[in-house]
Amino acid sequence: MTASSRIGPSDLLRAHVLALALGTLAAPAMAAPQDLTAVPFEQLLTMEVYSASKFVQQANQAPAMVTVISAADIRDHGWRTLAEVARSVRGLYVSNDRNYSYLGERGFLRPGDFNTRFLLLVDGNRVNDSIYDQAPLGGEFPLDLDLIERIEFVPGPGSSIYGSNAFFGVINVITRQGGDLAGRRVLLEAGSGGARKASVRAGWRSAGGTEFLLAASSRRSAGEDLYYPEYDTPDQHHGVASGIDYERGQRLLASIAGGPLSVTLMHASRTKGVPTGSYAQRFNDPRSRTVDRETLVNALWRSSAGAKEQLSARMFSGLYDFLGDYPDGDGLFVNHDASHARWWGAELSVISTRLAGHTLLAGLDYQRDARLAQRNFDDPGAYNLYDRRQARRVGLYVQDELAVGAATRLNLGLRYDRNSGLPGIVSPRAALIHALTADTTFKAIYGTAFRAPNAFERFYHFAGEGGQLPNPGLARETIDSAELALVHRPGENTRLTATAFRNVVDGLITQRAYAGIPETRFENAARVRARGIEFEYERRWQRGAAMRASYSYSRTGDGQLVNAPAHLAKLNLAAPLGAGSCRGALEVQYVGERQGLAGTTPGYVLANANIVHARLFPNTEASLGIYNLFGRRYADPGAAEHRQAAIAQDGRRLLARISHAF
Amino acid sequence: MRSERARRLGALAALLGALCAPGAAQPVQENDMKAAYVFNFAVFTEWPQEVLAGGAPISLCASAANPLFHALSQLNDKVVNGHRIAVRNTVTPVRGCHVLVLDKNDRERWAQLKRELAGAHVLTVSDDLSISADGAVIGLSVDERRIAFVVDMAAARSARLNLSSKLLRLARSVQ
Repeated sequence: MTASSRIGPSDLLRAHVLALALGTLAAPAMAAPQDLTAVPFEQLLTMEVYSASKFVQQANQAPAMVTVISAADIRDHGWRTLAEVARSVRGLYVSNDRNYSYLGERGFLRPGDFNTRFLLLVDGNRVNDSIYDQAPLGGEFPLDLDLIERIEFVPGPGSSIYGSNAFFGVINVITRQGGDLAGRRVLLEAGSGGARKASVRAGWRSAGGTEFLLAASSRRSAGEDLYYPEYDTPDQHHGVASGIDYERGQRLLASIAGGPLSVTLMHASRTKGVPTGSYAQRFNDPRSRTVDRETLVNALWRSSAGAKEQLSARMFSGLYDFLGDYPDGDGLFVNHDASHARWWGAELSVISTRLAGHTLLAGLDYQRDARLAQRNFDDPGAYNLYDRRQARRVGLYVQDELAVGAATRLNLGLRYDRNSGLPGIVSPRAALIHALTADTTFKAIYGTAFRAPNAFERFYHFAGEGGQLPNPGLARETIDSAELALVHRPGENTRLTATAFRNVVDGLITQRAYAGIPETRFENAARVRARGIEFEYERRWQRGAAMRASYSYSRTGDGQLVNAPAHLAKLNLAAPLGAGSCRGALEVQYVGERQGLAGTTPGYVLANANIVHARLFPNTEASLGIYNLFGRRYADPGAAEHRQAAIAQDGRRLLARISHAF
Repeated sequence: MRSERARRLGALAALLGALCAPGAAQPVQENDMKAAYVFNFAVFTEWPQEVLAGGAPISLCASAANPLFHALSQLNDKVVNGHRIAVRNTVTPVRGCHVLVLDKNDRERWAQLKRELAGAHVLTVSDDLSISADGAVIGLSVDERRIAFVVDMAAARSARLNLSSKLLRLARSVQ
């Protein structure tokens, strides 16, 4: 790494100047209100509004320190993936190896972990597949971000409600309904690196009030030629991976909601070229790629609101396919890694407010993994692996939220889980939420969570360089987490948060390499501790300007863990620009120095900017996003499958979008 | 190469910036805008002579718990087609209202209100999806930061209100 990739005061200065410029531009919008009854009705229809409701109220009462990202935030910042959204969230950071995006939180991002320690839900339905437990956060996430109503990032143990995988946190995505998106819209995107995207959506509401939504998108990007000095020999194209950083993807969403019933179908497929030569592949071979395909169906029935008992019943089914094409080191054959998972299940829950002062929740959650198949074969050549299994998990949970006096609430939850091949486990959580004053809330949260080892970690077997040995006896990992927080709201539009946490992880499932053995193996590691503090300041102004700034510090074990930055800082700004049809947004992120498997990766500051013009023409919106505004060079640590100690990330990228409503 | 890119980038940003600058309307607080819509609904609705005689005030009703109430109060004493607007906190009877604005707080009493309103010449405007879908004459919604509305013609007919063709043309959908 060169010195220029380190953070420079000039970056911070430039970001500051930009922020000031945004502020100045925003100022004219603060002018005196006009008499709207004097404006022609046709003109009112074209004018933008901003909402008076500032923060989601229940976030204050939640038994966790929730960050809520709204559809408006997504639009302001021009975020394209969940990973980009997560980068802006207090305490989270993202690592990318040009194949997948990996999420880290509060000092933990294990090499070889496919986001298994975060539970990703879309409208309450589990998106993590059942072979790798992977939470897809990049292009492989099955939903376009403009179909999202809001995203809740819930840090801390969530197993007391959700069972396995809700280990470091839960990401709750709530989709928009057909009625909210009434009409038809076409969106086109073009940007650097040959990025192109087209999407269409149509939403309508029938006379009977049933809402329909259909949305589809297709995208591709060529990526860039990338240079890796680790492969710089004449027979490896002098270390240049040419034309294999491409990505292609398609997504489809169909939903129907009417009365108490809603049904959603989601499907996505993503193909990504792998330019890094990971898993000892032949470098710069155009055949190298991974394909992720997931289909999810979720049917939800809810009893009518207003009754003392509210019942809900959910049935779900999922299908996930992975295909990895890895040309062998000499390019003689292509190794195909293929897995297939199929699951279905049901969840029943009831919320009761019958007892005064109590909100009781109880539920039963069942999932059947009807097929967990992992295959590996050489083409031409032999079968290396054909592992077929079935599994199930059952969970039973209760939670009570009770008022203890006027100022104090207690949230007590408990869940019992049985996962195939493992003994039962109980996960408790207790949270005390106490209003110190009218403006200040104190929260104390304690809980434990677990993650059952997945089929990939236990049974995958591939001999040789870049391979893996199975470990059927792998035990689950558990976390014991405590957090103390203060939330101060001096006014309707301002929120200050301070929080301190301590996590103790037992049996952390870790990919381990041994000297003299070419394969790695997943094993339960000894106890690891992490502790830290976080601060956040949020502010909204009249006329729709918003700011969110946070700082996080974490320390792990005796010496920092791999890929665990001690310091994270973030700033997000959005404001109306000029006379009101435009909004501008700026985000600045600092990720501190990280230990890699080989050497350290320096810290970096990254800035992204986005401008949205809401009415370039009638019914036409345009936006321009600039990612990595200052063209910083930065890198993320590589994992065991990489020869690179650090993997360089994208420079400045532009993306223009235009959308038209009919 | 690098500087040319930077120039192109600057030009693009400047272009968008320039497009942002002209005096388009500034964003408006959502509730103020919804109140302005309600005002326009009254402008483009015709009540039968027997319930709204010439020069008589238009009763605009909403519950004080409705988040729009404050914004609606600003319409008090404004004149619509020769009728002064009188904003009232809905108590009973709602049959005396010309315009009744509802929100999600009214969900529970909506079934009962509907019975009460049967045959009455009341323009019901709902700011709640479930009431909009269940027989309100006009339903409000927010889409991409803009206010849209849908009209239920069956409900308008049963309230024997005459909605102008302009209002129907501006609606997102008419059912």
